[in-house]
Amino acid sequence: MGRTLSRVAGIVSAGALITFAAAPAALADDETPTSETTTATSETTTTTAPTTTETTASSVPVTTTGTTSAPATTDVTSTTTPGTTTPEDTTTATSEPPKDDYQDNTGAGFVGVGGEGSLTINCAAGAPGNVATQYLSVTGGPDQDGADGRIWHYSVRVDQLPPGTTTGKFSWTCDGIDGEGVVVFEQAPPPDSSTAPVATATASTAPVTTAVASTAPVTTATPASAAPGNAAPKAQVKVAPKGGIETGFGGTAP
Amino acid sequence: MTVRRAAVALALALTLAGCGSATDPPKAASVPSSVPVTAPFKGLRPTSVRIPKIGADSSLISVGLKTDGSISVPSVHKPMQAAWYQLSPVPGDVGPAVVLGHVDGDKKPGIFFKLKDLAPGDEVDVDRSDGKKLKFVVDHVTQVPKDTFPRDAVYGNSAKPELRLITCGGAFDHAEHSYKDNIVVYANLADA
Repeated sequence: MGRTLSRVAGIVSAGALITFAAAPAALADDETPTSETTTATSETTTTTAPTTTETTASSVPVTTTGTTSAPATTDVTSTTTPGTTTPEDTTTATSEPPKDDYQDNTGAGFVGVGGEGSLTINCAAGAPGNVATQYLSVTGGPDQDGADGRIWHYSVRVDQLPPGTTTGKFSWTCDGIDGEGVVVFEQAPPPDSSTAPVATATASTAPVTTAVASTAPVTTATPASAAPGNAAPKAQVKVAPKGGIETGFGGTAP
Repeated sequence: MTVRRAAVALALALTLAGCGSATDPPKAASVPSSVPVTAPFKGLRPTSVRIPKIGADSSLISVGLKTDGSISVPSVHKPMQAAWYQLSPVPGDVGPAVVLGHVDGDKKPGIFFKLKDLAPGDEVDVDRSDGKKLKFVVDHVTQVPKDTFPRDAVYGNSAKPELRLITCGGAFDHAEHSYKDNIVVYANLADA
């Protein structure tokens, strides 16, 4: 009896070992050479709950006519070696596009120095519901992203932003499931010494959030008095995208 | 004794087998890889772009930011589709309107495959949803590394209606599946 049990155990053990030996190979097959995506979590400290905002279908496009000093544009000669690839390279597997990094029921908000911006919510099931924001008014949306119908955008404008606030919360439901994201308030660069910004926000009990998601666009440190929404100049591009633009994956460019 | 050893071995084997199945990737939620766009941006927007010199002619979809703060771009499987960044001004309004397109995709040339061939004085035509037909004239063309993308020059405020046409260029990084540079065309509204 003892010997029989021992034999059974030995067979099962061997099976398990085979399973383990095969696992790395199977996993390796699933691996793609794309870079890993990292999901950053950020802690926020808040003392007030987001206010629920009803969204309206009509967007309110704001055309700014502010003529702040235009940045100097300089002709840039190519600083990298011109295309070293040939069209033949496209027959290789390396011309595959990066893996889709879409994650459903996630969201992020971005508000530029002019106090206007956008909420982005990934919801493949359809338009998110019960969108609630902190410090923001929703002025437009929901609109589907023209390139990816799973992505929804809401236009927002700063309502009341306590000085020095760099992030806020917003929430929604996607297919009945709650979601929550962080809005990053891009800060204006330090003002010229000749001009004194006017700070009008006075809420004394308002929360000040400090954590910033690592995947958010770069923000710059700023004095509390330069909080967006009131004193900051209008930004014609409401939010500058992060980094360069990925508009080619084939390696065929001349 | 033998029985106890066998029982331990059996339990270990079953545990290991359980670990093996536990390492299987969790079943992904059934999130579709794409869904049709039935509720696009409804505000005033550009609807098409044409660049006669390089034979580019495309409708314009409106795109915004992804959750990582980067700009959403048309599907790589639709390399001939150009897009307008909806957080930039509408072309013809004061400021830098941003239009982007693929240099290639799906192993085929994209709508802006020849964008870098543009030169000062070349024409870019843009139609808007309000029926206006606008003509822009290329001012200059730059090639810039993506990792030092000149945000201020491209996205900073301007005193006039301007246009930025952006695509990829430079060397192709096979490891990253990405070009190292961006080509940026700066154009001004004619008669502005």
